[in-house]
Amino acid sequence: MAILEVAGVTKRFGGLEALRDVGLKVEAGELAGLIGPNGAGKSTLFDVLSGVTRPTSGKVFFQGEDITGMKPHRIAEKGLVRTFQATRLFSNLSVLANVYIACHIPARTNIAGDVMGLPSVRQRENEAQERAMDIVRLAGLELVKDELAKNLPHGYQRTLGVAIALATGPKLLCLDEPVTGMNIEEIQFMIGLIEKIRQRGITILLVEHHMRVVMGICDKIVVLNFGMKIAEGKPDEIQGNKDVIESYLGRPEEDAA
Amino acid sequence: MTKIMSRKWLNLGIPGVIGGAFLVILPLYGGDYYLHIFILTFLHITLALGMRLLFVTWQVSFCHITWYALGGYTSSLLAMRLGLPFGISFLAAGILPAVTAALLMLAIARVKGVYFFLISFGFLAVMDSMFRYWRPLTGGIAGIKDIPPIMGWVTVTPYYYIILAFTALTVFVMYRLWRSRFGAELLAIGEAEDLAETSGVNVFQHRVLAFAIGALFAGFAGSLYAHYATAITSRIYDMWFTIYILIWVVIGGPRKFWGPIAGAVVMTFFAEFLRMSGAMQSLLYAGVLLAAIMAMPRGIAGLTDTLRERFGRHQYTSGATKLGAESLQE
Amino acid sequence: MAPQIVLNGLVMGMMIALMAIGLSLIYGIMRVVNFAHGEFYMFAAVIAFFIIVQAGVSFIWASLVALAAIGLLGWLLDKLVFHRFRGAIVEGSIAAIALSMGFQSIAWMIFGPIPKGIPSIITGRVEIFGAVMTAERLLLAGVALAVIAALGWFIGYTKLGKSMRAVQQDAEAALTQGISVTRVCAIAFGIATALAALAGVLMAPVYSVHPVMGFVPLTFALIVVILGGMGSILGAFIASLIIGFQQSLTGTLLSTELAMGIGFGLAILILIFRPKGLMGHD
Repeated sequence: MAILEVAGVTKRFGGLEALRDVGLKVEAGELAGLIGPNGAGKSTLFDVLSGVTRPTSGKVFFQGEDITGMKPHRIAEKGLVRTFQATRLFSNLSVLANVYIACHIPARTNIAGDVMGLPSVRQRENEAQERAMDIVRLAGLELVKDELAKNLPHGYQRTLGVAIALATGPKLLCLDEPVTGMNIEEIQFMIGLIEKIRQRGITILLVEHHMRVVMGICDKIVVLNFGMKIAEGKPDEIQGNKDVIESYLGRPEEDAA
Repeated sequence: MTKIMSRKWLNLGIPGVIGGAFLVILPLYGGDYYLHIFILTFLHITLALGMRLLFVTWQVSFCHITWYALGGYTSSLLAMRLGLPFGISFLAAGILPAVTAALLMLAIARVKGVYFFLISFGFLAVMDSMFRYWRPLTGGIAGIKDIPPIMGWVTVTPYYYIILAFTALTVFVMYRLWRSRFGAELLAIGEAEDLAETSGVNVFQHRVLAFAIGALFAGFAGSLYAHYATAITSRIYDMWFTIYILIWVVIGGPRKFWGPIAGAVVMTFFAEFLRMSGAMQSLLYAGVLLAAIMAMPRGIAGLTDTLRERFGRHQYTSGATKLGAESLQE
Repeated sequence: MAPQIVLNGLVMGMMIALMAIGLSLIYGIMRVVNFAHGEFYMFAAVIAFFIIVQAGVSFIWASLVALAAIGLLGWLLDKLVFHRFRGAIVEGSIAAIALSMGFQSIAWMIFGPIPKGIPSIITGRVEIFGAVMTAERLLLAGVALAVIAALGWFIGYTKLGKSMRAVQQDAEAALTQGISVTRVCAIAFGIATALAALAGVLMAPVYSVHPVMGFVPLTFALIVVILGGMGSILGAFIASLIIGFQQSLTGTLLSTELAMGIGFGLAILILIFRPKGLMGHD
């Protein structure tokens, strides 16, 4: 069973059709890429997946469960977590604190216990701190762990954004343009991080414009244009696909059917 | 910035111990007037700390004084009309505001920023109307007189000690909350609410709790004040008092634990000092307040940060200049 | 009785609107809650008082002087104080509170605590549909309405007005379009305070002048702005009328004391269902 299944999703905003009958499957453990020219509907699809928007019609299944239209934090609880293009961070908290906040143990917060210093609560929080540190190390941020998030350079900030998403313990991580605005070195690093996340068994769905990255690391690629899926397959299949090439280059004389 | 990783019980240090000793010994040397100022300061500290809890989530409550008032009225009425002992009145004085706050929050937690501020102001105005005009219950503008003392105490000193003890307890609980996951999450909500939500923080629940806990302590403080002062009127709990609480929090610096404490202490003593300068006191207070907020927008506690940003240049921690493949150590 | 309530409500609504629109304007453009707004109202009345009673100048000239002075004061305050608090709502509010305290003290010192009156502008009563109103109040309401209409035209159709709207919607974007945000904010502040000043001089002959006279108008303005939505001028106008009617209704049928509490209660209730007010942004 696919970990993510999108079936016939259509999204209309007033008269504009942002997504039309989009369907795709992502298998557990895969690294899938979602590409398409600007305005193709990639962000809208992400919004639908993460619960930010409700589709006009169609369904989204996550681990076999229908999550269409669920609230974002419930979807996040279920294990589908996404990052945002405009990096959202806890600006005035340290890097480690940023990750720690997201290190939730599913059990309910025991505030009274925390105040009184109950051993069970203290141990839980120690574990959370260790987990946070582990993720900070994984993301290569241990040298800046006490730095305020707002003081980090851009590349570090995006990495931190991924780290925070990772800390929530997702089964499917949806990365929204993770390498946009990064230089070669930073991109290299992010690719490494994505690989390591994948090695931990987490499924990844990636929206990105940087073709070499997408072609280089993804197992499978889905191509959108004008809100419709126009191709799906392995990187080399996609690279040779005429429709895909046309959608990026465009053919002025062709009229839409 | 919080050191959320520090799990110490209470970081007092030598200054703390000396200060504590000073406070304990004070009644032996200070006259009633000075004890009175300290009593007010202690109560103000608890109010400021209580308000700060919700404040950090970017919901500024303009009705914190209402909880103080409710505490005072509840405790007085229970003691006088029903003859309940102080202990029970005291507890009820905290619980009633806490429950009311929780219920109110259920209705208005969705309301953001400025609107929450104004809505809480509205709540304060409505309750203020009630305090002023429901004469049979609250005594109206004349208020309630002859509130029974705590355990028959008639001198100032025992009240000083019980209020000092209460304040110490409040500071302790607030400190533990501040250092707990709950406290860290409250700060996170204030920083980036949507990110906190998607990272699994139950924003709504946290806000209700922060509001209710603040109200709880304000109610307790209100009870203590009422029995100490033996008379309360609605004029004590007017809009200006709630503004003062806000001032203590903001001028003190809401983002460090001891900020509101500093704010309450400095501003209360300053106001008292001004009282001796007669007619110009309001103007001086206003002038200093304006200068303070312009020079220290992050409050006294944020002064080092403010200064660093104005005059210094930020230094990154050494070694972290490049993000390179070598730092991948796994 | 109904026409009387309606007429009272309309007149009251106009007065409140002058205050509320200014408050909403300041918040919309600068994200500052101007707690000192009542003091501009008050100072205008005080200035008018001194000019009329000490210098014997006519009401109209005194009003114009007061308006200009207060508008200038507002503009100056933005340049000196409020510009650094743009977007910092809490800190800006504290600054405004400080100014409010300071202004009240100054007024106390130069004017004294005893309320004083200003002679009426015109005398006589007017009857409309069985409702009676002093000619003075009707005149004031008329002036207020005219000014508000002029403001509406100004914001909708002049270049400066459009710049203001642009800044309100997105200050950064406005900056990139070459709009001098600093200039727009300062002028907006001046306009808003001038509106409050107008309310102050208009109301001075009706009620009396004293240092704390700004508190009630400020409170009403806050209720209205909660109800109408911060930053929405139209919302402030409509909400002013609603509150004006509500106050008139409650004041006539129940009691004036309860009127304000009920007004607040109404605003809170509406906010629970529409968390951003009737037409709020943000």
